[in-house]
Amino acid sequence: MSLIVSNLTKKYGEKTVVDHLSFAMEKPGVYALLGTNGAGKTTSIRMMLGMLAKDEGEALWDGKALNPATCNVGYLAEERGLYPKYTLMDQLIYFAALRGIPAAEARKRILYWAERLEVEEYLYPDAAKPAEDEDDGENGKKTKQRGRGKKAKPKLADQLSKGNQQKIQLMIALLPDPELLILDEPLSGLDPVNTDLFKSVIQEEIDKGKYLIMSSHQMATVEEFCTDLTILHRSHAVLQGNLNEIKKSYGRVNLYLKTEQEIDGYIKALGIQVKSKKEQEYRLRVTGEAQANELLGTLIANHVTIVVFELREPSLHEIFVSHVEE
Amino acid sequence: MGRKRKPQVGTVFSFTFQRHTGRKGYRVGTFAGMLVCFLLPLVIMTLVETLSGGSDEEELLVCRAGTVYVADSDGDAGTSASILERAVGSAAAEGNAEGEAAGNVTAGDDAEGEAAGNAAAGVRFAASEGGVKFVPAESFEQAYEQAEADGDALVLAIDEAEGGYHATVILPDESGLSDEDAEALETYVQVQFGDVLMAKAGLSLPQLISLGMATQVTYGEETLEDDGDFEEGMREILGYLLPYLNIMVLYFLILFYGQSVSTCVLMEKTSKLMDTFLIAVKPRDLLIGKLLGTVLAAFLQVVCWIIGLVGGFAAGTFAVKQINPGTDMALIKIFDSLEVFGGLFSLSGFVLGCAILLAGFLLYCALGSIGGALAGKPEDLSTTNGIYVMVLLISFFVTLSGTKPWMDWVPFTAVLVTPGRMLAGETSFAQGLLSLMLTVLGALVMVLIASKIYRVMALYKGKIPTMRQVLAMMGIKGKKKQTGKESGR
Repeated sequence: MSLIVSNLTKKYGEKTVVDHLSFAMEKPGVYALLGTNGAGKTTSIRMMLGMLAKDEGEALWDGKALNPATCNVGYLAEERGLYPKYTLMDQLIYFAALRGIPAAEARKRILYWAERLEVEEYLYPDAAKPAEDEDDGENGKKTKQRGRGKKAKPKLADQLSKGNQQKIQLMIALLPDPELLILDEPLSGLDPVNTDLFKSVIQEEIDKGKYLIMSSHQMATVEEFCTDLTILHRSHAVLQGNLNEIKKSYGRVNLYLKTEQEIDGYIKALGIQVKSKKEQEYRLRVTGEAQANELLGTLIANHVTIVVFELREPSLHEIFVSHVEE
Repeated sequence: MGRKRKPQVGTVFSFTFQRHTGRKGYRVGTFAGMLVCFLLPLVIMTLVETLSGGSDEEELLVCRAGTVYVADSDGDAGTSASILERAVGSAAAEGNAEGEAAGNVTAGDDAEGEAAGNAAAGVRFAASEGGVKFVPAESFEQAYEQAEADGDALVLAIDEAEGGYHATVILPDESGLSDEDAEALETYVQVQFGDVLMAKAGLSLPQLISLGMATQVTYGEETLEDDGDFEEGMREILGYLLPYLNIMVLYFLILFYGQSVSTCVLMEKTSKLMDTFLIAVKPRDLLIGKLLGTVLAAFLQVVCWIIGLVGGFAAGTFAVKQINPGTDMALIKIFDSLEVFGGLFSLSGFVLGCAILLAGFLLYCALGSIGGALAGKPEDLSTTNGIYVMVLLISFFVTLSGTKPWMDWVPFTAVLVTPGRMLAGETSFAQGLLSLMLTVLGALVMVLIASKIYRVMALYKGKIPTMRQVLAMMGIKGKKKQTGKESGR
C-alpha cells in the first residue's frame, strides 16, 4: 500500500493557498506535514480526503483515488468538537454507525479505547471496573446493566474538560481501525500526562503497521515519530524528504560544551558563533567537524577541564525555523 | 479496502429522529400539548352545556298519575276528559314522528320518543303502565272514591263559577302519589284548559285540531330548519372558515419548525463537527437525513396534537349528549354536518390531505435548511432564514386574500390552501392528487438545492455569501470568487 499525493493545488480567487504539493508514503510510518499557521496544511489534508474541491492534482491510496467512502481513513481534525448536549456513548455509537461498524462491535472497540485513553468513568458512569466485562463479549450492555440502585447519568460532552473531549475525538478517529490515520495537531492543548498518553497511542498505531500523517507545531514530538516530512510555508513546500537525510545534509554543526573554566577567549579566537551561554555551559554553532576539533585541541592544549563535549546535527525545530525565516 | 460505503441517510435520519423525540422537552411538549388539546374542548363544551341549562328533561314537571278522574259540574265531563287526553296523545304522536324522521328508530329511541311524546305543556306523564288516562266521572264523590281506590289516580273537579270556570286538582288522602304529581297536573290543565273551553263552546274535534296547528313565520328565502339548506349553510361557513384556519395553523407550525430545521442543520458547524462528519458521510446524505428526521419528529408532534384535539371534541360531544340528549349546541351541529364535506372527510381524501400537508411541510423545512446551510454561526440564521420567512410570508398573505384555483398548482401555496379547498369541494380529488405530486416535486427540488448549498458551504468560513457568490461556488453562475476562507467539496 502507498499514499501518493501529486500536485495538489487550491486557489481562492487569485490567491493560491496550496501550490503543487507532492509527496509519497511508500511504507507504513509517520509522515509529518509541518508549517506555520495558514501555510496550507489543513487545506491540503481536506483536499486529500476529498472534503474540499481541488483545483489541481490528486491523492492516490494504493493506486486509486483516496476516497474515505472506499478506503478506511481515520481523521482527527484540527477543528474538532462534539455535540455538546448528547451523551458520549450515543455520539460514539453514531459515528461508528456512520463508518459502517455494527453497534455490538462498536461497543467492544469503544470499551477498549475508553480504557486505553482512560475515559471509562465518563462513558460508563455506573461501572466500577468496566474491564471485567471485556471477557464476556457484549461489554456495553453488561456494563450498563450492572449499575444497581440509583444510576449515574451518562456524561454529556460539555461536561468534559478539553483534554478529555480530545480523547473522545481521538476515539472517533480510531474506531474504524483505520489503515491511514491523519492527525491534525493531535497534541495541542494537552497536559504533559495526556501528551504522553497520546504519544503512546500513536506509537501503538505505528507498531500495528499503520500509515500516519501528522501535522503539528510540536517539533520535538514530530521528530520523535516521523521518518519523512514536508515543510509548508506560504502555500509552498519549502523542504521535503527523509528526516535523517535532511539532518545529515546540514552536518554536525551544533556544539554543546560544558567546562570548568572560562573559554570565551578561545571561542572568540577561532571565530565560532555563540548561540547561548550560561556560566560555563556553551551552545555553539560551528562550521563543521574540523572547527569543532580545532576548538577541542585548543582546550586540551590549554589544560581546560571539559565536562561535556557534544557535536550534534540541527534539530527539526532549527531546520523548520531556518527554512521559514528564509 | 475497496468496499463501497452505503448511503448514510438512514443512519443520520435515525439518529436525528431519536435525538429529537428522546428529548425531555419534546416528550413533555408533545404530551402536554396533546392533553391540552384533549381537555380544552372537553371541558369547554361540558361547561357551556352545563351552564346553559343542561338537560331539557330536568325542566319538565313529572306527573306519575295513571288515571285522572274528571268531574264536571255542568255534566259534560266526557268532553273535558277526551280533550285533555287528546292533548297528551297528540304530543306523544309528534314525539314518535320526530324520532322516525331522524331515521333513528330503535327500541331506545322509541322509548325516548314516547317519553318526549308524553310531555305536553311542560309536563311529562310518567305512569308506570299504558300512559295517563282521563276518565269522566258522574260526580265529584264518585271520582274521589275511585281515585282513592286506584292509589295512583288524581281527581280533576271542574266547576262553573260566576263569569268563568274553576278547575281543581285533588290528591286523595290514601293516594300513593305526591303533591308534586298534583302540581304537575295542575300546570298541564292550566295550559290545556283553553281547548276544553273551546270544546264546551261547541267546536268540533277537527275544528279544535285546526286551531291547534302550529304556524311558523320566517323572513328570507332560506332557513336552517330545512335539512338541505342547513347543509348548504354549513358548507358555506366551513368552506370559508376552514381554509383560513388551515392557513393560520400551518403558517405558525411551518414558521416554528422551519427555524428548528435550520438550527438543526447548523448544529454540526457550531459544534465544530463538520470535518469529523465529512470523513464519514456525504454532505447531501447528512442534510437529507437531518431534514427528514426533524420533519418527521415535528409532524409526529403535530399529529399527536391533532389526535388530542379530535379526541377532545369527540369526548366533549359525548359528554354534552350525556348531559342533554336533545342538545342544540352549534358546535355539535357542525360536527354532525361534517359528513356533507365528502371531499376531505372520506378516507382517501383525508390521506391525500395529510400527504399534501406532509409534502408541504417538507418543502418549507427544506427551504429552512437552506438558511441553516448558508449560515456559519447561530447569529447568521436571522439573516439566512430571510429567504424562507419571506417565501412563507408572501404565500401566507397571497392566500389570505382569498383562495384561487392556481394556488393548488404552486407548491408553496398548495400546502396552505389545497386541503381547505378540498374540504370546501372547490378542488376535486384528482386535482388534489396533481397538487400533491407538484408539491412533492417542489419539495424534492428544494431538498436537492439545499443539499448542494450545504455541500459547498460545509467548510465555508467568513461573511454570509451573497446569492451570486453561492451560485458561483456551486458552479452555476459566473466565475468563482470567494470572500470566505473555504468551501466544501
